[in-house]
Formats: sequence, C-alpha cells, structure tokens
Amino acid sequence: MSDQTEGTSSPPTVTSRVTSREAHPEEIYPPGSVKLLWAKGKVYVHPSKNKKDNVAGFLTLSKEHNTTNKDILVSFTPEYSLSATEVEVFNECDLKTNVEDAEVANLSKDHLLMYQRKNGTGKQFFVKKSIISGIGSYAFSLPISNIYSIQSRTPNLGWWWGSIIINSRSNFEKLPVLFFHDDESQSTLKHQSMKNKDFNPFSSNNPADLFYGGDQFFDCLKKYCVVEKSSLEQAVYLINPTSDDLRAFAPLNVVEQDTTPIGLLGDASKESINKFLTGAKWTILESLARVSQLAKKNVSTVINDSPEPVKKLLQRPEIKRLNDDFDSANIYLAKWALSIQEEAERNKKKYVLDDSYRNLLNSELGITSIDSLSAVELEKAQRTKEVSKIEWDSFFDNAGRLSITVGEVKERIFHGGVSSTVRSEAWLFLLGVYPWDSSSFERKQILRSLNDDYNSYLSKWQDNLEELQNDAYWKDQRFRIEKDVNRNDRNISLYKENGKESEDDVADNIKLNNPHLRNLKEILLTYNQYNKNLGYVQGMCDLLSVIYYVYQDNNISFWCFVKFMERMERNFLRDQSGMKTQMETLNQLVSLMLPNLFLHLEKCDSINLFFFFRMLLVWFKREFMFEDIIPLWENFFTDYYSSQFHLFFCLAILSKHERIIIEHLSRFDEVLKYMNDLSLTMDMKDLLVRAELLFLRFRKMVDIIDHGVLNDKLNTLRAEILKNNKGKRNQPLESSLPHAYEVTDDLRSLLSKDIIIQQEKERIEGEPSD
Amino acid sequence: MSSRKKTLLKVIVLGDSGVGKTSLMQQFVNGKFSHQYKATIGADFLTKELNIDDKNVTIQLWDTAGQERFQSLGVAFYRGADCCVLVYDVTNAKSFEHLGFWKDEFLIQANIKNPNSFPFVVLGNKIDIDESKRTVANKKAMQWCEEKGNIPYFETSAKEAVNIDQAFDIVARNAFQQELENEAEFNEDYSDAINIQLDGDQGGCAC
Repeated sequence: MSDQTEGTSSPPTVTSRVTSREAHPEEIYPPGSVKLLWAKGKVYVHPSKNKKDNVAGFLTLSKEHNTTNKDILVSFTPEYSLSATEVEVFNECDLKTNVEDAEVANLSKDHLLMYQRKNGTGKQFFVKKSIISGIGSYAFSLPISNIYSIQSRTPNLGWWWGSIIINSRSNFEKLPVLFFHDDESQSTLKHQSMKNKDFNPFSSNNPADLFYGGDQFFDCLKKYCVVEKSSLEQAVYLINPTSDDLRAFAPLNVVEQDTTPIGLLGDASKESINKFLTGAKWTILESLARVSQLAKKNVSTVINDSPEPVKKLLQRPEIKRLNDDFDSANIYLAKWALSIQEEAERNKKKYVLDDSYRNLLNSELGITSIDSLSAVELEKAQRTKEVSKIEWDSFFDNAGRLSITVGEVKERIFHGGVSSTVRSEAWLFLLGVYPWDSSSFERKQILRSLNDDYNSYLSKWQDNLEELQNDAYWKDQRFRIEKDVNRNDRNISLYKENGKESEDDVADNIKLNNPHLRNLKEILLTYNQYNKNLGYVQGMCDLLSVIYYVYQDNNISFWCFVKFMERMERNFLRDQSGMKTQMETLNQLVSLMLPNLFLHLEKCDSINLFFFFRMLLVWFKREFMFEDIIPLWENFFTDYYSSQFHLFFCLAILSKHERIIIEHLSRFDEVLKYMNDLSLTMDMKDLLVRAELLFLRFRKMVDIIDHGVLNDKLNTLRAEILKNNKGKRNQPLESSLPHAYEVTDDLRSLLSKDIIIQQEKERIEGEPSD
Repeated sequence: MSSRKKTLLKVIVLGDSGVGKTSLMQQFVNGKFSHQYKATIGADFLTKELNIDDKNVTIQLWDTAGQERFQSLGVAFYRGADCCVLVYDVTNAKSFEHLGFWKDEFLIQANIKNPNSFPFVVLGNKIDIDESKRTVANKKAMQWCEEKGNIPYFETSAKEAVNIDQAFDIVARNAFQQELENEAEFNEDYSDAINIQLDGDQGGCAC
C-alpha cells in the first residue's frame, strides 16, 4: 500500500521511449513494451468528496507480445505519472480506438479501401510496460483473467458521472471506483455527437440508457472476453464467468427456466435474492476483506457500492447494530461476513433439500477419508421431534416405573429434547434427583423428604442471622449473592422489576424488587450453607436462574441445583483447575479435529482458548436466550455420548466459524471480541447437530488410532523412508520419521459418560472469601 | 511510517465485583446506562476513538470479572497495558479497602517494568446514590491516592454520567504517555502488538 502523498511527489515512473508506428502483419513489439488496444482519458478516481483530490488518468486495455486474450491487461494510469509525450500517445489512442475506428466501421466498402490506402490499416500504439503497470498511488493493472466482475453505473440524475468498479478475483485488491468524466473526454464527446446524429427514436435500443465512456470500455472488452450481464443485478457484468458464477448470478436464460408456481411468488423472489447472495457472498466478502486494512470510511464506501440486496441486508437493525460496537475493520468485516453467510445458509435450509444440507455438512467435515461416518450415523445426527407428554408417559408402566431402557430415553432427549409439559419431571430424572428405576410412589416420598431437608438447610442460616452478621465470610458471601442476583437476567419478564422491595431484613445490602429474585437469593444462600467449602461463586446465579425458571419452586429448584452443581463444581474452584483442565482438553481436541484452525489460533496468540471461558463456566448461558439454553442443557444433561459433550459444542462453534477466523482475525483481542460477540447470534440446533457429528468423528478417530488400523501403513512408510536413505551419510532421525498418534488421557476422558466430579478443598474457618 | 500507525491504548479496568466497571465503560464508550448489565464473566473489551492533542488514538478498555479467583486466568489480558483504572464503590468500604490488592495484583500479573511510574487512575463510582449511604469519604480516597504516588482520583456516576469524560480523558492521556514510553522501549519487536496499522486516508489503492 502506498501513501497518497508519496505518489504525487514522486517523479513519473519512467521516461520511456514511446513508439507509435505502422503495423506490420507479424507485429513487432519493441522490447519491454505493450500494445495499447484501447484507451480512455479523463477517467478519474475520487479519493474524497473534495473535487481537488480527484485523480485523472487513463483506463486502458493493453497486450504483451505472445500472450492470449486472457492476459490482456486492464489498467488505470494516473496522468500525473506520465510525461507529456506519453499523455499524447494515450490521447491519440483514445481518439483512434473510440472515434476513428467507429467512424471507419461505418464507412462503406469503397470508402474503407480509400481510407486504408490513405492511412494504412491503422496506427498502433506501444508504450513501455512499466508505464502500464506503474505502482504509483491509484494506479492498477490486472489481467482479464483476474477480473471477476465489473459493476457499471450509468450517469443519471443522482450520479453526474458514470462509473465502474472492477472486482478482482484476488483477495488482496480492492480497486478504486473509476468515474468517467464524459464532459472532459474528447473521444466521448465526439462519439456522443456521432450517436446523436444517428439517433433513431424508433430504435429497439432502450433510449433510457444514457451513453457514457464506460460503454466504450465494455464494447472493447467484449472483443476479448465473455462479458455476461447478470440479470439479477442489472449493473453487474461477469467476466469470463464459470458455470458456477452463471448459476449464482442467474443470467436471464436460467431465470426464465426457473418458473415458479404463482402461489409461491413471494418465496420465489426471496429465493432469487438468496441465490444471488449465496453466489455473490464470497465475492462481496472478499472485496470487503480487501479493504480491511484501510480506514473505516472505505468500508462504508464498499458497502455503499454493494449490490441492492446486500444493502437491504445491511439496513436490518441487527446488522446495523454491529456498527455501534465497531472495533476494528477486521472484526467488523468478520461479523459482517458471518451475518451474510448465515443469512444465506438460513434461507438455503428453507429451500434446499435435506440431502444437500447433509452433503454440505459432509463435505465441510471432510468426511471422505478413512475416518468417514456412515450414512446411518449421519441420519441419527438429525434433530428429531421433542418428547411429548403422551410419549413421555408411554415410557412408564402402571406403577410409574420406566419400561424402556435409560439409554433409550436419553437417546430421545438427546436428539429431540422434551416438551415444556414434560420438562419439570424429566429434569428431575436427568439431574439425578429421581433414580431412573423409581416408581411414582417412591418419587413422591423422595419429594417429601427433600422438602424437609431443604427446610433444615434453610433454617440453618435463617435462624442464625444475628450470629452470622458477625461472620465476615458469611457477610461477604451474602453481599456477593445479592449483587449478582440483583443483576440476574433482568431482561426477561420473570425477573423484571415487580412489586415492592423486600423489607424483611434490614441488614440487606441490596433491596431486591422482584419476588423471584428474592427466591434466587434464598436458594443461593442455602446452597452456600449446604456446600460450605465452595460457597457461592460468581456464575452460579446464572446456573440457578435457568433451573428456577423451569420450576419456580424453591425446594425443587434447590435440589436440582445441588445435583447440577455436582458436575459444575469443578468450574468454580478457587484454583481454577477444573476450568484449566477443560480448556486444555479442548485445546487438544481442536488440535486433533481442526488442525488448520489450531495453527491459526497459535499465530493469533489465542491457543489458550480463553474466549471459551465464559461459555464453559456457565454452559453457554450468556450466549443463548432461555428458549435455547433450556433444550441445550437438557441435551448436555443426558450425557448420552459424553459427560463433556459441551466441549464438542465448543468445537462445533469453532468449526462453524473456522473459515472466518482464519481469514479475518489475526490478533488475540480480535479473536476474543469476535467470539464474545457471538453471544445471542448462534443457531443452537445447528451447532448441536455439528457437535454430534464431530463427536462421532472423534470417536471413530480414536477407535482407528487405538486399534492400530493405520499401523501397517505407518510401518511401510517408515520402512520406505529408511530404505531410501540407506547408505546415505545423513540417516533420518527417529524423531523425524512418521509416528503413531497417541490419544491423551484428557482426550480419552471425552469418551466417558461418567460425570467428572472435582470438589473444592476444605475451607478453613476465618479465611477471607473468594 | 510511524505517522500512519494508529495508536492503540490498552487500559485495564479493575475493582471488586459490582462496583460498576462495566457501567463506567459503557457510559464512556456508548453514552448509556442500563440496569440490565450482568456480572461480567471472563473478559471483554470496548474501544473508542479519541483525539489527544490532535493525535487520533484508539482506547481499548478491558473489563474483567470482579471475583478474585477469576483473575488467575487474566494474565493474557494484562500484557501490554498502558494504564490501569482502579474502581471502587463509594457506598462500599470493602471495595475501597481492596484497591491496594487490585493495584498489586495488576503490577504482578502485568509484569510491569517500572511499577513506580506506571499510570493508575482511581475512580470512586456511584456518587449518585444518597449521601447518607456513602461510606468512603472523599478525603480518605484522596489521601490514599496521594500516598500511592499521586494517583489521579475522580468521583463518578456511571448512572448519571458524572465526571466520566473527564476521568477517561486523564486515563487516555496517561495511557498515551505510557504508550510513547513503551514504544520507545520496545521499539521494534513489540510494535505490532501495540499498534494497529491503519492506512489513514487512503482512497483505495491497488498495489
């Protein structure tokens, strides 16, 4: 990237020998030169709104000796980088290729011969290649083969000048918009007057199409490559499009075949926008990615220049909102990229058959090699219907005992979840409050005794408030609980301000103005009493909040919370060892399953996966709304595949965002911000399906590794290497030979369905809180 | 080259849980206050573009969880900090008493080379709450800041946007000063980590 000021102060790139000569059939190119095929002067780059900043130059097509049409260069050369003689050559070429040639083409056969006798077959223009490919500010040059598409905007009331944007296929370039100042261009003015002379009001050509300099560019370009107008986006011309490009942009003929029943018209138009988006998204994203290093305002330039459907998308509030938290161009673009991608994917799901989705998943997960998943396994990975009350009841016999296996129940819940009418009972089983083999009668008894137990823990602190007021630790804990309860999920109706503040305890630091929040506080204080070593730690309130939401009963919520905390305790330990272990395990999992991403994260200094801290600590509570977090936890509660399935959920999130992270994010803070901002944007069900597929893939990989399926191949490989190096002086080191991969204990623990319990060390009385 | 580098000022905001770290940052960056902010888990940051003496800088404010045990994982965030904001709640004496803890914790975790010259700013938040509930006197806080090497001190209300801009202006200026010193110190190797490359006013160039 060069600086604007550097360009203006530096001398012209070359003081070249400019040759204009009569053409010969064999075409002799002076060394180091290119032949100008077409040129147009008074084409401008507008770096700012200020006229003074405008940069005038020549848009040219030129060809090197012995190259194909695909190699023809499309270049923009600022005037200031040219010498007076060079400008003259360009101008001459401009007039010839845009006016004279057209005039000549209109001559009758006799006149043409006369003309040629007088003037030869036509002047040819050669310039030094270095002029064309100069690297001054705003100059650019790229072969036709590198052009993906060109957008054309004809002049109209709002746009005095017509303009074009060249979209390169390369990821690195964002080319400036080129404005055709027709009123300054001699060749355009002449051509216009020619046209006006010939103007035929009855012509089939659309008279509304105003002629501008860009038209001449397209006319000339068409001689050398296929220029396909997209019917979806009128202003877009595809250059040498592939069949995929054509499909995505649905040129006229494709659309016409695609007839849709009248009743579906609304959807159909949506679909075509979606088709456009799907096809165009990477092009657009890539063009956006290219400006990521530039200033913010350039990003908005690109957005303003975006095709209409994209603009519409950008006007949606959720995408607009991204602007508010703008951090750096990269994060912004990454988010933007994702929102587009997701929009396209969401629509795709609606319109494309399930098979395709499955194929997409397949190919994304790269399931083609030895560790491929079978179709049967894939079939199972689809989410199923939730368990209804009728279905749930059918699992039990007359005595209320389970009549199918626990595994079968869990399988159903894992894949479908339960309906809200079943949830409160199902969770008692899932969390282990009810034994799976209990009868209805036994369960009633359990509930009764739990109620008594709860009351006894409750009274342990409630009856001793006066005494506890002198206990610094207890006071700290209570304050901690009050602070967190008071700001717990205040956005959902259950926990919104409701009624008077509590006046029951004058020693309260914070008066809670919602009865349910007061219940949360009571339960947490009771848990603080129940698990004295752990006590209350930040984040627990988030966990209880969901359980309480389901039961809205202090006693049952408490016991469900107690059971839930058995497995969650390791997240809250003072030494954070449980969290560290999980992050370390996840780290190993990523390196095994997503090696490319792992390498990238390493480069970003993000291999500690710290951005998963919040997600892991409270099981994605901050990333999803209640309506999603409940079924998600329900899924985790089953331990159907693994008691640490949540780590595969993390893996699914990473795999979903792998490409975007790799392509757009390069720093620790960028990755963290990106991951944090995924909150409330993710599709829980999609991620669950991915998580399952990833788990199955992982299990298969471990299986292959453990059974030494690859050992023979590995040994052959090693033997070959050794054989090839036989007799050579430098024998390969043992460590440089291919080795079998060993599954670590951490990774192996992921195959276990047993809950990992890690408890807080004994708390010494009188020790300060935390 | 350096003229085109955009300066990134990294600021760490520390203090007890519930003193209003997130609210202060939100008020400063987005000019809003909400009762719905949840307890911060893990870490996050907000950024704002500022102009200090005609220099455009980006201030990056890091917010972390207030419970001590979560700090052990925070080392990664502290690295490269240019200023540390210590926040307490004027109605919560404990949160004031802990300022020393947070200060030391930061100096250790961030591995600050010259602890005596590293810029801190202390904010006493929640001055909108009724005076009768105030438990930390202005004088006491001022004295503490003076003793700790004349740390700038502000009394703020994130809720009512009192003194926010003034406080963060000093934060930014001190961070900027520190950043210049850091830059001089680690001129080459670390420059990438602390500067964002932004090609200022370029209109889109093709090279």
